Amino acid sequence: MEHLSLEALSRLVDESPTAEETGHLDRCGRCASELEALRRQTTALGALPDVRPPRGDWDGLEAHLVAEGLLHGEERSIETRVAVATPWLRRAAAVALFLGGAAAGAGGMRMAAPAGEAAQAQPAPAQLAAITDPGTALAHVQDAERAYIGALAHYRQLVSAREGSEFFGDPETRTAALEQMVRAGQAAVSQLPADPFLNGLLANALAEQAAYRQASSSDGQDGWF
Amino acid sequence: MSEAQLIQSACEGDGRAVRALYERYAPRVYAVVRRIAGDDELARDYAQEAWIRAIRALPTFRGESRFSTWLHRIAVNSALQAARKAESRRKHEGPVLGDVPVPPAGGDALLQQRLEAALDRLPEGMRRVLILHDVEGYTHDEIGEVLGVTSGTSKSQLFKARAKMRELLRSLADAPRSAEEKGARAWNT
Repeated sequence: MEHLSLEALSRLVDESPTAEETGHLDRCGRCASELEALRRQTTALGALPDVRPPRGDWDGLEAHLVAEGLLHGEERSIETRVAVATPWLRRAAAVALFLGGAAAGAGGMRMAAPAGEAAQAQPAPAQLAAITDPGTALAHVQDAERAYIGALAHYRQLVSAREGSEFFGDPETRTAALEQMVRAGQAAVSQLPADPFLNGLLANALAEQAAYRQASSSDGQDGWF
Repeated sequence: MSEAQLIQSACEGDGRAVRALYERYAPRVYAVVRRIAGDDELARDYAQEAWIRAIRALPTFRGESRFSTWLHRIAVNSALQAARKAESRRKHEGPVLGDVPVPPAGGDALLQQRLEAALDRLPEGMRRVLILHDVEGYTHDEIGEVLGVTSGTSKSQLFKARAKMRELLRSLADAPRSAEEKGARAWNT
């Protein structure tokens, strides 16, 4: 018995079979089964989910739009201004946030941010509760933005000052810190599974962990940042 | 802020409005250009180009169709145009082969990964028709319009693409430890 070709069966996914094809499908289990598989394949293709773009895509787009004059540069968001900072600083910020988050998980919501003017600029919870109009809220957001950027700069200075020291140099400390970062990331993503920033942080932490495990197993030397 | 207000503000160059539209539609745009591109690096370029074109064209959006439909059409046209250019370049430079990482997904993640991997391995002409018809739900007339072919050609390509896809899926099922699946497992550990 000659079977129907895959192309002919593909046509029957959304077109009616001829009398001859119907007769064949009634008699041939193999062709009937292939047709069913093609229908399942088509249904599955139609149900494919959307795909989140890679991290950093917005940064490049925004820079292009600003350069072309399609976007006002002064309205760039805090996320973007932080994101367009040097890659080193971005990575340091991610680590700081993770470690801060992990520390907060262990001992209450206390951010591991550097002390100084940046920290002093943060409004107290009572102040935040008193915000009732958009203008004041915007002012507070702008203050927080300045404080955050200041904190990142300060953090960078602190870590730069420690270059050459044994910052996370001990393998056990480093492994534990990585595990802490992954756990903190997983906890955060489980709370906000759709948040692209948190997913990005978790991805970074998992990648760091995998890279460090690989480097450790081959006695390789790699830099934390 | 309503979508109409966001679009109006974005037309005026409001960065927050453009960002809000991007956040809302980026996964949809990226999904279609990624599948047309068949490659992550190209997809990033295609997606950026699609967004730039859309933002440039925002003042021409009259609300006669849904914004998502309008944007999707721009993304498809932009990606197809870019893919033709890339194809032309590849003819001179030779093919580039390699594993394509697929982002992790819940539910039927394995099936989705195999489908995406098989899509990436389809010849370009077949892939475009299959994506537009079976994934994006275009009619053959619409496909003919965007690809510049007759609806008969679109149908014929679709049937070939489905058949090829079936063969590719069978071969992927026989090789379960693909790079994509290993990547997905690592994510879930």
